[in-house]
Amino acid sequence: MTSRYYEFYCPVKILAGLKALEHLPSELAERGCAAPMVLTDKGVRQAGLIDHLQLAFEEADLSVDLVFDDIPPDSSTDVVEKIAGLFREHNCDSLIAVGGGSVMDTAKAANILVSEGGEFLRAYVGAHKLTRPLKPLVAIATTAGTGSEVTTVAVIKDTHKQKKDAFQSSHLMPAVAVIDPRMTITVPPGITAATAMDALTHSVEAFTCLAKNPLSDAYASAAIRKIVTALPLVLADPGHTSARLELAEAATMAGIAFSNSMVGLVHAIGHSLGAVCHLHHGTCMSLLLPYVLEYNFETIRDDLGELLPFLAGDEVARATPPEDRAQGSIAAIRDLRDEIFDATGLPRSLSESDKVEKSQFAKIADLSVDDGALMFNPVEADRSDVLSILERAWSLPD
Amino acid sequence: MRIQSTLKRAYVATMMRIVGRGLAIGSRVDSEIAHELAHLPVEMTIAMRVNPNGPCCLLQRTHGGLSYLGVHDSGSADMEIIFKHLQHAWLLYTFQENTPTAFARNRIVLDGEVGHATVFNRCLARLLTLILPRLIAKRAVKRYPVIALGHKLRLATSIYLRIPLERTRPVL
Repeated sequence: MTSRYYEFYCPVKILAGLKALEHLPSELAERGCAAPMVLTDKGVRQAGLIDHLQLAFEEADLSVDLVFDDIPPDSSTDVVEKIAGLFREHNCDSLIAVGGGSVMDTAKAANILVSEGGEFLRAYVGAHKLTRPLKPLVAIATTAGTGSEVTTVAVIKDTHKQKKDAFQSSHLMPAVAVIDPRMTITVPPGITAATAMDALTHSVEAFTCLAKNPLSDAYASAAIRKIVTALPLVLADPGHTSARLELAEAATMAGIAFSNSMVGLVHAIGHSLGAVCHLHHGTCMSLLLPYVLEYNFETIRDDLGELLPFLAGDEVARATPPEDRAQGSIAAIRDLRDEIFDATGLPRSLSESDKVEKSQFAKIADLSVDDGALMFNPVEADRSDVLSILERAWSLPD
Repeated sequence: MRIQSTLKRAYVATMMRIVGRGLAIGSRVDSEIAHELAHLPVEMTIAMRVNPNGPCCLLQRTHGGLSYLGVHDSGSADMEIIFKHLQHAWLLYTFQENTPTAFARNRIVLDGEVGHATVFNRCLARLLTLILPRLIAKRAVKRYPVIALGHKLRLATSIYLRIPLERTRPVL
């Protein structure tokens, strides 16, 4: 008798395609909302992305009166508590988050306070602390990578303790996620590549880690095919609208996959590498992915082999003997990294990044073994294992 | 069926007592468990319990390692590892499934900081490695470590001999 069991949950309504933003006013009306508060950051506002949203509302004879654009890249409890105060002061009834991971996390955390009441977030730190639905939250991603628009987690820095707190609950998931290519079209090629590699890593880890299941596999594998097809098109032509849409869809699909299957060692080390060396999260993922797959290789060989048609195409997969397909998948990821390096200079090794010193390895390893993502990695890894992975990722193989 | 459930419940409750006391003793006799526990804040309370009214085991991190506080379920521990059903605890304590797999299969819910849970999981894995025969321990942990048989036997004996004598302590 098999002991296999899994759970899969994604209640987020996804509005995807050209002019998807124009569907938003009626979505809010359906939920009885008329006074949304928009949360974003200065970069998004300066790029003119909020103008698209405001125009969509104006054409529906509505307006967006309250826009808070002061969310920093590393958001904190102070920012969240300030947003909650403004929300109450202006009698808002819903939240619209426009941005990347930090804006999304801030919006999710602010939604806790404005829905549950109270002044401080501290009471809700941890998992499963929320027991009822929150106010409608709309997530409009401006990068195609994090998948935050469909995940149950928010990470916010506690200003007083100077540490990051994680909040996890299915109630944190947005009610609506909007995928509109206008919102990602201005992202520079380097960031586009890094965030796409983040989404690719979500997919590959979702497909190969302990909590994988048939539904997350379907999302993950389809996301991989979209990423490897659309990313080169976007790098060659950043204004390629349909390829931008494909990438944004892939990031959301990868988000749905990993939200239901979790991630593993690439993220455990990547979180720590990013924290210690201040490297972009997507860059960390791209740097570590092949090396962690090699570390996990014997345990994930079959799953990794199954990914070859999605990573390299059906013809390559058919021409590759079954016993070589797992290695072929890693080779395809390396080839993609080379292609990205040629187009954007996104580093392929820790030394190429110019931001990492070998003296930092010990600190990175210490943090990695305490990262929750390690639990779901199919192979155990201790401090010395992490150090050996970092050593291998230091320079490109000859 | 009812007798089977009663026996399962009794077995899980007994194993929770053994594991709870074993961890408390292990924190004093094994340097690896002691080293891991140093990452947890002093006075932190840790509960393992079966939902909704199943067996429970409560521990507390102290200056000396871990204290076994007994089977009370105050519902207010700093970190709770909650089995969603008796059957899920049965799978884990009969070593048919290890803790990470139980988490991955949504059989366990964590209420608390994930980083603390990873530390506690390593302590639990180390204890099971020490007190179980290699063949069984290999099923209970993700990776069976390199450990000299003599060293393992010395520590296992030390833990088993002290389990009946281990006192239930009051919360700090």
